[in-house]
Amino acid sequence: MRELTRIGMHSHTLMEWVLRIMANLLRPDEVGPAEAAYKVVERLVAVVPSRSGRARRPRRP
Amino acid sequence: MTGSAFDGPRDHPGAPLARPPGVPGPRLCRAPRELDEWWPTGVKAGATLWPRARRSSPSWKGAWSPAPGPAGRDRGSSRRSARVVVVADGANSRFGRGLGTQRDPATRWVWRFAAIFTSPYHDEPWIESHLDLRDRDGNYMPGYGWIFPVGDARSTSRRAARHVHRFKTVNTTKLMDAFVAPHPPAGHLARTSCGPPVGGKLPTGGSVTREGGTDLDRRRRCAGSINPFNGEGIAYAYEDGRMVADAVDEACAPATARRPATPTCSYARYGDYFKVARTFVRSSATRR
Repeated sequence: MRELTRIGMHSHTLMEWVLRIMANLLRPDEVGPAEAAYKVVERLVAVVPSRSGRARRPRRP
Repeated sequence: MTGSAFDGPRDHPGAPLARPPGVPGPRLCRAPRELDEWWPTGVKAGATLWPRARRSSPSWKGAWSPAPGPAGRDRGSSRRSARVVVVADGANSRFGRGLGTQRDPATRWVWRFAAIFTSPYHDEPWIESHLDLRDRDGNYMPGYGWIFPVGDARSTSRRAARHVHRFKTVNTTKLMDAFVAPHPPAGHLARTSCGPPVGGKLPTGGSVTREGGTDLDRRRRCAGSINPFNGEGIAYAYEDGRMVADAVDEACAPATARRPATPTCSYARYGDYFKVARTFVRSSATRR
């Protein structure tokens, strides 16, 4: 995270892309660099299995 | 409310808020007593209000067998039934837990707390966003802060600290003091807090689920729709509220008039996005 912050703080373009992704301000109808970068990340994450913790037993009324 | 400013409206004017044509200026913050004044409007429209009623045991007649109700347990208790129930009692919903909702313990919490201050700038048309928080010694602090003018001689200061593991080690009063300290005495937060900061833990995107059931399956992941990236949840709350209104409208409509497509929930819309965010948070956060 420290490295990401160090690089991002010195790149206006990169920070703009990241902020748009983190604030969920991507425009699906517009294919810009941020949208393209996010799609790549989304495909990578899609193949990662969801890490779910041990679910607690639900309370029944 | 006309816009948002970063790190103080007088120093760095920010961007105006987006406003659709024909829509009056948005008010993003309302005083609690102003919200209380809306109840009589609902009662006048035909709603029945039980001001001090308390739910003791929900029973679900769907996939589960009916559970014994509260009748007879407490004096004055009674059983109420409804075709449609909207559970909106907060992030740690006791009613929802009674219906079987549960939070995935592998996901992170977002922690948010707020305090109300008297302020000479209570009617300013700006929201202050403080993204660079430091303590008295100049050390960076996690999270970010907002100041909303309430409009009745007060301003509310909110701070979101995200991805906190050990809540017992966090002192909300100290964190709020550190947030308020850099502000000048004559500024927005004039050290005249109307009370201690209050807040709590909020579940992040898609972390609250409900196993089993029938009708609730369609919208079971409406809870816990906080963006794991930044802790923002107001926009998702608005969307969920609209979806719930559509769902109630659909449930109350005659069978012949029902639309074939059920309204989706925020998790169906943002599930993939939330998964990316959860993966980012898990990979970037440092466990202390």
